[in-house]
This record gives sequence, structure tokens and C-alpha cells, in this order.
Amino acid sequence: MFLVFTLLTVLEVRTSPLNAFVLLTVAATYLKGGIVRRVSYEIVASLIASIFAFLELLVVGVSGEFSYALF
Amino acid sequence: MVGNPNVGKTALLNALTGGNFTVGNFPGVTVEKKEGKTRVDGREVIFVDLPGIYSFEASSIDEKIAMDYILNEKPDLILNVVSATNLERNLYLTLQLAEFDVPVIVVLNMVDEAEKRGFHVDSKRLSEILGVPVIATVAVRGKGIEELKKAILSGGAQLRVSVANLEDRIKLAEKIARSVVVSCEPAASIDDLLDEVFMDRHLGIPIFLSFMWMIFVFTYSVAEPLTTFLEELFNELSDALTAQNGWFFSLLGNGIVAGVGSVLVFVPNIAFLFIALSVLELSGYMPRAVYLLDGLMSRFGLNGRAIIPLILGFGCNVPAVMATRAIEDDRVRIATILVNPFMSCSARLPIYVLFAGLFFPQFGSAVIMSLYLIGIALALTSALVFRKYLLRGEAEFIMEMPSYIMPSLKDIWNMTWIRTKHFIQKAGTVILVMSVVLWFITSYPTGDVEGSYAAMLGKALQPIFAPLGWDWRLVLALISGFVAKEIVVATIGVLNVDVAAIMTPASAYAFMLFTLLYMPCLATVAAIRAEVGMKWTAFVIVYSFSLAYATALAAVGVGNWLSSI
Repeated sequence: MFLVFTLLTVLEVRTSPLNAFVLLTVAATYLKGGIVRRVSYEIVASLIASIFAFLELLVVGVSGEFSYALF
Repeated sequence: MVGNPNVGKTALLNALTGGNFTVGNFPGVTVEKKEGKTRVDGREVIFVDLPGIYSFEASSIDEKIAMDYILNEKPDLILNVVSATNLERNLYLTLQLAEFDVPVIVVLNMVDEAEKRGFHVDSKRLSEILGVPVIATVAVRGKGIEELKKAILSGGAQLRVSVANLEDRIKLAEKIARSVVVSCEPAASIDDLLDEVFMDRHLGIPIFLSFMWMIFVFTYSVAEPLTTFLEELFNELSDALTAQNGWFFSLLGNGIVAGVGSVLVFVPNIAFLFIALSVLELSGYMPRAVYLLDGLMSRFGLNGRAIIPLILGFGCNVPAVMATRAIEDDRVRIATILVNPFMSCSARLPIYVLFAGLFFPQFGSAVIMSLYLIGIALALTSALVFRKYLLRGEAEFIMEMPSYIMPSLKDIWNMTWIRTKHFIQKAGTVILVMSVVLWFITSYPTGDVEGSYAAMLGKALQPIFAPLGWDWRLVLALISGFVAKEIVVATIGVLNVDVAAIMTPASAYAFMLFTLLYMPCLATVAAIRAEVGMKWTAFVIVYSFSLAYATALAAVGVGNWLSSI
């Protein structure tokens, strides 16, 4: 997951640096979870990613502009 | 109702009275006493929820409020709300209640949380030791409330134990807690799991900033269609009214609908901001933010406890100023009050949304977030200066972490509605009156804006703001904004100013910065005066205006330089 979110961060950085910051934070949380081998980091990283994905879906729902580095 | 902060007194008040007082999940939500009425078995009972306190030493304002109430009002009964999760510390306050000669019932709240953490409190044994009824409750779920009502009718009892000496009281609280707390199998703690990451040394702050960014996207982008809908609605209404002849329709269309409507269109933004803040507050994340930022705050002469008033300032500076009562140290308290107006309250949001939408449509959320961050940065820098030169001295604080909870939709709705209602009420009162005043001074004596009283006033003061590139109509908007910040937008609406035609992006950003900083609104000024007196109030007005002018001037300079390269 760390690699996926790092890739998303790179793709997003030119579109929205602040969105990229959130994605980088998620990636870093997954990375630390991997280093210290604690499941809590993976749970919290997934929680933040889910909230952010839900928020971006709301944004696309109201504006038609989706980012999150996918479109 | 007396107890430590964050033991669920307000939740208990709601459970007993069916009320909907704002409940938080961090210490210091109640800074003034709240009253709730109910009928118990045909008898009317009035409950008074006092601010949460750790002792009756009266070192902070909320301790003094609680002590004065019990001494002067002589209640029939004290409901001493204690948290089963931290009995020893709560009992320290309970033992002091023996000094007041008032019957007591101990409400042992949050027993479910204690069991989750691996211990059980023997309420029967505790009752035998203290000599008063002890009722176990879970106030947020309404458990134990009926038993409590029965106990209230029977009237409680005098505490059997009394210790005058502070050290003996600490020892006795420890001894009683040891004899009534029984260990049991702890449930797997979600708190520990979440805290490990949310309070991580490296990731805690980035996670906090990520949440802040998501709040601004939610507030600005997700609320936008509703804002646009309301804007079109009020424009249609205003046009329909002004199409009729006569001064009355002009007053309705150009004055009331244009003025009040230009503020009401931002209700969705305000409500969305409050929904997001309510979720953070109720979930228990906010005190973690306090902990994370305590190290940073102490570098600026404040402490973690100042965070709560500062965060409340994002909603409205008036309750935020009052929330400083929970700060024991007077110098930290005054410094927190003085810098609180720099926290961008919800009334400023309409100004940001208007200008950011017009001048920075692609980066609206980022521009708005930058204003919030600049406000925080200037608040902290100012606090450092005040603490270093005007309010010197060390300060410490103690704060406990509440458990994480999944906020209920009812609590989110209550908190959001109470705060949003305040904004709508202002639109129906002070902004309505100001819209009529503005309509009058922009319509008379000549009938056109250019020759009006408003133009005379605006033009007389405009030279002061000439270096910032704002014309007299914007100056008039700033003057009227002193009454309430929303009136800045209302004035622009009444004057029908085409801001895109008379400003550059640099001067628009400077204008937003100026409205963020230039002066607390009238209600905040009154609150500051009530808390710290006239001298500090005059100081904060002069200081904030000077800082706003210098910051806006710098923004114009930097903006012009950037556009020239």
C-alpha cells in the first residue's frame, strides 16, 4: 500500500499539492506500520484514506471534478 | 451537578432533563453554569450543571463559579458526578464537598468505559465508605437514570468522611479508590491502537494537518452547490422586488434582501464547517491535537489548555474568549484572550468564500486554508511577544485524554444546529438592522450611491487605505464589519459592488487578510472587556488594527512584486 499511495502522491502533486500531502501522509503511515510491524498504523492509514476517498467522491458528486490522482 | 472536567455532567443533564445542551468529548466544554428542568414523580427539579473543576481551591474562574454557587445559592442537593475511569482523582473533589454541609449523591458515571479498561468499581462498598448513595450510570446511553431519579427524590445524605488537610485528602482518596476498584479482564482497547498513530512523534502533526485540509475541502467544495443555489434564489428575489417602483420595494430589494441574503447564502459553508468540527470534537480527537501541539504552544508561551479556546475561535470568538476561564494561569489566560480574535471565526468565512471564489477559483480551498494558517501563525507569534514582554512567567497544565467514541448523529446535529442557529439569528437581527441602515445611508440624501452619506464617510476615510488599493465602498464595508464581520459581505451586497472590476488578486488577498485581523467584532470586544477589562480591550483593538494594516500592506507589496516578475 505504501507504494500505491506514493505513486498517487506523485501523480497528484501537480494537480493539488495539498491533496498530495494527505496521500503522502497515508503512504508514510503505511511505511511506518511496515517498519515497526504494528497493525495500528495500517488501520489508521486505511481510515484516513477511506475518509479522504469519501470526501473526494463527495467533491466529484457536487462539482464533477475528481482528483485523488485517478482521473 | 459538580465534578471534574469531562466526566459527562452535560450528558447527564441531557439524560435527566431530555435537553439538548452541547456535549463535548474534551475538558472545558461547560464554562458557565447551565440549567435544565424536569419533573420527577410529579415534582419539579431544577438541575444546575457547574463547570468541570478538579478542586475548590478557586485558582481558576470556573472553580470560583462552582464554589460561589454552592456557598451562595445553597442547592438542596449536590450530584457529584465522578468518572469510574479515574476514581482516585475524582474522589479528591468529592472529599472536599463535605465542607459545604449540603446532602450529596455520588453519580458514578462511565462505568462501561472503566470495564473496557479492565476494572470495575464496587458502588455498594463506595456508598458504605462515603455514607452517601452511589448510583452507577452511563449517561450517554441513559443507563442508571431511573435509579438516579429515585435517589434524587429521597434526597441524598451528608458525606461521612471529611479531611481538612490537602495531603491527607490525597492519601484518603487513594485509599478509598484502592478498596473499591476491582480488576477484571480488559477489552481490547481501540484507544491505545488509535493513539499509537494519532499521537506518533513523526506522523501526529501531518495527520492533524491532513484532517484540517479535509475540513476545508468539505467546507468549501462540498457546500458549493447549496451556496450557489441560495445565491441565485436571493438574486432572483432581490431583482423581482427592485423591479417594483417606490422606496419601500427599494428598501426590501436593495436593502434587506441584498444585505441579509448576501450573508445567508453562506449558511451551507458555515454548517459544513461546524459538522466537521463537531465530529472532531465529539470523537475525542481534539484533546489529542492539544497534546500534539502542546510542545509547539509552550514555545510560544502558551500551553496545551489554550488550544481549546483557540479551536473554539474557529466557530465564534465570543464563546472562545469565555472558554479561557478554564486556564488557571492568569497570564496565559490573558494572552490567549488577546490572540483569540486572530482565529478565523465562521463570520469571516463568507468574506473568504466570496473573494476566493472570484479571484482564485482554482485554488479556493487552499487560499482559505492559508488565511486560517496565517491567523494561527500570527496568533502564536503575538502570544510569544505578549508573554515575553507584557505577561511574563512560567505556566503548566494537566489534561487527561478522553476515550474515542463514535459520535452520534444526534450530538453532531445538536452541536451544528446550535452554532449555525446563532449565525442565522444574527442575520435576522443585527445584520437586518445594519442592512436597513446601510440602505438608508447609501440612498440618501441624493438618491444615488455616489452622493450618499455612505460615500461621504467612505471617501473621507479612504485615503488611509489608499496604499492598499481599496476604494471607498470597500472601506465602508470594513467600517460596518466592526459590528459583525458578516456585514462586510452584506455591505458589498447592498452597495452592489463589482469587486472583480475594482480589485487585483493581490489587493483581494490583502483585503481578506485585513478582515481576518483588523478588529474583533463588537460582541467579541464586549466579551474581552468582560473578561479582562477596558485596558486590555483597548490594547487588542489598537494592536490588531496595526497588525492588520502592516500585514495587508506586505501582502499587496509581495503580490505586486510577484505579478511583475
